[in-house]
Amino acid sequence: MKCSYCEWRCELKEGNTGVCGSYTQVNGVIKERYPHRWTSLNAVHIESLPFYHAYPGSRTLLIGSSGCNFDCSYCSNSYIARESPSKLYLFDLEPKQVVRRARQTGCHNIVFAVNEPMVSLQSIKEVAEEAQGAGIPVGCMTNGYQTPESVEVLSSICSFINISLKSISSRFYYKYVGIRNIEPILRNIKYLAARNHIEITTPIIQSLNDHEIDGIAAFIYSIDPQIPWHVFRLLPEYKMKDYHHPGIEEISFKLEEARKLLPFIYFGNFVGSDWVSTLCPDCGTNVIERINLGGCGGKITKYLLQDGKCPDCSSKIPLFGERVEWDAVV
Amino acid sequence: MSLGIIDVVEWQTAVNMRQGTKVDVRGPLVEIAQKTLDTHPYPGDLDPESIDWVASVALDLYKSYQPRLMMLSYAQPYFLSVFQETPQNERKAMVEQIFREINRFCEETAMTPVILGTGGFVPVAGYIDLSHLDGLVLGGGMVGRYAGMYNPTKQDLAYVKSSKFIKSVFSKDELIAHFGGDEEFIKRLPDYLLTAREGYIFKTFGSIPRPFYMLPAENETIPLYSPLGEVDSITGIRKLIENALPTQDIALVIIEGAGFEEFPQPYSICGNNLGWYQYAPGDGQYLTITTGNHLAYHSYLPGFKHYVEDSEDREYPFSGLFARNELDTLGYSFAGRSAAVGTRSILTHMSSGADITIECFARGLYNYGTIAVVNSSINND
Repeated sequence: MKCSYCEWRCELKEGNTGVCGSYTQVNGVIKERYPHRWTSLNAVHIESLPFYHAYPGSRTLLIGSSGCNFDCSYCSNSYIARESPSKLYLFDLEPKQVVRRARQTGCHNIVFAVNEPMVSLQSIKEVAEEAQGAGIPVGCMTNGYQTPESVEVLSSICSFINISLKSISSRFYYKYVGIRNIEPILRNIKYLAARNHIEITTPIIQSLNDHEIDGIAAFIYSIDPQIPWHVFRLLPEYKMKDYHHPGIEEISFKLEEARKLLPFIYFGNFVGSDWVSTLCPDCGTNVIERINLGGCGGKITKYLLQDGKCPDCSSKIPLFGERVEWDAVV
Repeated sequence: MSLGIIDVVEWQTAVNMRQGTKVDVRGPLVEIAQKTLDTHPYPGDLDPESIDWVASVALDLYKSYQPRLMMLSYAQPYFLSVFQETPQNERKAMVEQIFREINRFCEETAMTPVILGTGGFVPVAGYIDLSHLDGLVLGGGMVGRYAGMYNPTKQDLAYVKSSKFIKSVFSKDELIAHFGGDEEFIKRLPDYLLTAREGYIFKTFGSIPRPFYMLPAENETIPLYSPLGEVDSITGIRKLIENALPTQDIALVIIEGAGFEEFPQPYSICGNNLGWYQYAPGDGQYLTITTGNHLAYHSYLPGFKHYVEDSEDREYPFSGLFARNELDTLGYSFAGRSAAVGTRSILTHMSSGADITIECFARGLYNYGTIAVVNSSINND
């Protein structure tokens, strides 16, 4: 029986698992092996994930399970993504309990991150439905390797989605991620961009994919130039942990060119980055100031938009959802 | 005011530590910081080479600044024991290596070392998961031996009081009576503090999802090597050093994860507790050593709702959970020159209060580089 959650479309025999190790066949039905089991639960800034153009300033309940359908050689979270769930501590929380924790901790939205949400799609769907019933928006971070059936589900339960586009070439994906064909990811980005708020994230590994910056920018531009693009300076871990770190000056130079196509480019994962604030594309005013404190995202320090517009030239800055103060009562 | 010089390998920037904003600064201490950071990239929390990094950076700092008081902190025995499977003989070898490094440092600087091991470990016996309770439970620090509980129901309280893995449950009133403390401390107290039985760890909202291998033991006492004399409690170390500073240059060395089994002879036995509360490696223990006061006067009880305070206008964004800064620490109050180096990130500059502190910029064991925290008034002298 074929699993239809992601494009691996693994053949699952009764009791066996596929690439992600998260699904199995039980009496002719594909089931999650660890439903409603979570490794991570935390209250974080939405910008830290990163989402820079969705509910700016809000407090997010970050939740993650375990496992992944990719085997990225440089994975930063391999201790969760590539580790057997039997070796991790998993919280057993039903959807109502997750939503209750979000309320208790003053979180304004819920985002599935840390690992690939597709490996727990049914659990995520149930949490999302419970959250939506309580008026809590839901988002996720994904690698975009879903089947058309799954991406339709994801699109229906998550209103804002950050998709990792690691390269524009199948060759890179084959060598460093383990999949043969990038096409499903490009297809899904287009699908989700037409229906949801999306942001795109690309880990840059110098000399491996930095030459693709122009190509990736052109692809995003072809969908919608206003899509925020988060480029992050990858500090490889896992199988590539001794690989050198990308040079900031060189990558910044290349991104300056790309910024002519895409006004909302961010470059993070290094402390003190000058590239984490939002600039007005028309007049260059710094309209949302952020700082990077470590990690691929940032934290807002000043929010200067007035009704979503630049205070200097009144240009509209594309944002999904309302501005939310960290302390705003849910 | 303090300045932060950040180095992320081949790229540096400077910030005002209070606001987190960029600054364009020059000055003798800033130059020392820039050069030292550029020469010494941090190997990483889980890389044993970080042990050599401390003494190498400290020696460079000594040569360029000539401090009379230094603090060196080593966190690798702690990180490598808690987050990796590290056998006892390797832990002991690590501490021996640190002692060789300290000897190398002291031979070159003629500083008198005062060396403290923060306590030994026990294997993980199990996890305490209270996520099914109605009330909210938050673990404290990287390793949750203590947890704060908020708004529990009667059933929640009955459950935790009957759990065989929970050693004790203290109400807020009991905590105030035990710790005392100022308003800043008391307003952050949980409704209840839970303490785990030795070897058990709270897995809660906000816990690190990494697997754990060892946990700090209930270390009521810890080993201290001090040619300056003995003290009964870690609160006495500051005074011991201050009394000797007029005639000696001193290096306070903190070795996290070194207990009596790993610490070489000779040592004296030093108290590491306030009644039933034993310090585990972390902010409370570091600051108690360098302020000379128990945690109710400088830090917060483990399990406080730190995320609530993380608003956009929060000051000292590079100093983690600390709302207070520039505390009355050993280095901050010393009139002579002081410097510090450490692999426990934020805790190094918070607890040292030195003229210049160099520390790793690691968060959740991810290595983002290094930072030097510089006292700007001394930089301008």
